[in-house]
Amino acid sequence: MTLTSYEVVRRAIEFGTPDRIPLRFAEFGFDDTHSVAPNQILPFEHQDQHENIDEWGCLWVRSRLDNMGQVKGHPLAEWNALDRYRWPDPDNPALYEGMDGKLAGAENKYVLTEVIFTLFERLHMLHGYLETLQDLLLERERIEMVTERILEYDMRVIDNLSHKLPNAIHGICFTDDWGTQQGPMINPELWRSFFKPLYRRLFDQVHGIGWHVWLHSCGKINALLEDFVELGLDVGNFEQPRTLGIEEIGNRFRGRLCFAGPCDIQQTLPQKDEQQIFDEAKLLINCWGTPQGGFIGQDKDLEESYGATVKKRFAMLNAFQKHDRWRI
Amino acid sequence: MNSYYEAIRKCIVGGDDSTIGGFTMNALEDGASPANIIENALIPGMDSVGERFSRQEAFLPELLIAADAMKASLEILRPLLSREDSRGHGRVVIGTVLGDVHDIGKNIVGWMLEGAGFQVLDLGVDVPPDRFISSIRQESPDILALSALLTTSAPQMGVVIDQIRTSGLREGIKILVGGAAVTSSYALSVGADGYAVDAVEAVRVARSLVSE
Repeated sequence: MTLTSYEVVRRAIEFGTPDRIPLRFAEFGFDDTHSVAPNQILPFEHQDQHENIDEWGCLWVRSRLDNMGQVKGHPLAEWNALDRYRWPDPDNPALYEGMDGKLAGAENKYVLTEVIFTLFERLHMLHGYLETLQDLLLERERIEMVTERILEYDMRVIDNLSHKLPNAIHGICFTDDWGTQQGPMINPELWRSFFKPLYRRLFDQVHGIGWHVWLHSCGKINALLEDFVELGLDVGNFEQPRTLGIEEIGNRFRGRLCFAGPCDIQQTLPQKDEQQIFDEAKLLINCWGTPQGGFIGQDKDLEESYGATVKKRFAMLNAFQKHDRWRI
Repeated sequence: MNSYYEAIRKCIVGGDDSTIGGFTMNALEDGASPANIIENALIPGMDSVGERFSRQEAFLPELLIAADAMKASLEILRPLLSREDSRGHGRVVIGTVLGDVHDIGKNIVGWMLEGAGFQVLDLGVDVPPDRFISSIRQESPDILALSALLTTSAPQMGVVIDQIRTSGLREGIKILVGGAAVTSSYALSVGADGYAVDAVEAVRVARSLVSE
């Protein structure tokens, strides 16, 4: 009997031997997952938009090119703004409007929700990236206070989602970029003392509900990955496998963490040809997947923003399907 | 050697921007020239932090608070530098190319170059090629540093370099490129003179470019 999409994904995550590699290529009609996100204000709602303010009061700006842009207006840039800052309301009904309707099409699929810009990202969007890095050392108490409020918000949203869509959601994806091209943005010891306990609370809440924890993080986060696995991270979404080191990460974490991701979006997808994309897809499956699961082939859309093409994304999908050594 | 140099270096390594000003004034009153304070205290202090960063013993927060301390001292010293000394180890014009508004990496590179004794003129973000050209004509920099985060804006680096060449300005300037969208082979392909993967390497490369 063919497994449902939900079962394929669940088994891949839990190393329960799926009958094929799950896929997340929605635009090409191959998606074993179904997304039901709360109505967070995205950086930009449509292509012609170049400035936007989100529900936290962060001003997003981008150039003419289609990309995610950068936060240029930080509501807590100055600490004296803290007293009059209006924190967003995690119980705001607008966040959850239409959530029931979003489940349409989710039958037999793995349902994934999200809270984007989860902790560190929201922190530096509020206070400023460089200012946050400095104040982790210089204004620890204030940073702790703000981060605690962010965590409280996230946990309340998760709680609300679990009640509004009971037994409907299977996993939640968080986003927090932690890596530069060469290593973590902050000292791993500082990360462990400050952020690890916060992630523990977040991950424990999610697991307590019965969901899986997915995390998107860009950059070379090798020094933090063992900690994330220890916290119970179920799925890592890493889009620069070449920066991480495909073989190194495979040697350390194959069979211990499920990976969901594309071929490298910095080098391979923009710069290489279809054969090289094929080769990297095969390498990812071999190094990061196991016969019991552990790999999900995932697309990366908005190809213009990172210099790829639709054709290359399609080649990547074909490669994941072709090199699926464990397909029954 | 001025007795306050070590104190200034320690302020930089420790990211102490509150007392470095006092030590800087002490050094000046003790007879040290602004250029010598930069050469013997600021630069070694920033270099020390840069080396620890390269060894992954210091990270971005430590680099930034060191840069802040350095800037606090430079604020006192800069107005006192002679016209000749103000150019320091070289003049750098830096900017993020057209179509790209990302500036975090560029800003860190600029600060590190200042800490290394370069004079840095920052043109900001989304800079069109003709603005780089006019800046080269006006400021006569030793180095033009170009930054791009987006793969889609990186080709602007080639456009800028081509226009510099057709404007007859290529011979007199070194071009350094960097950013998440850039690799060393890409830098070669667009005709740059140097590439740096991070701010600390940018200092190393800039130093070697001006010494060529």
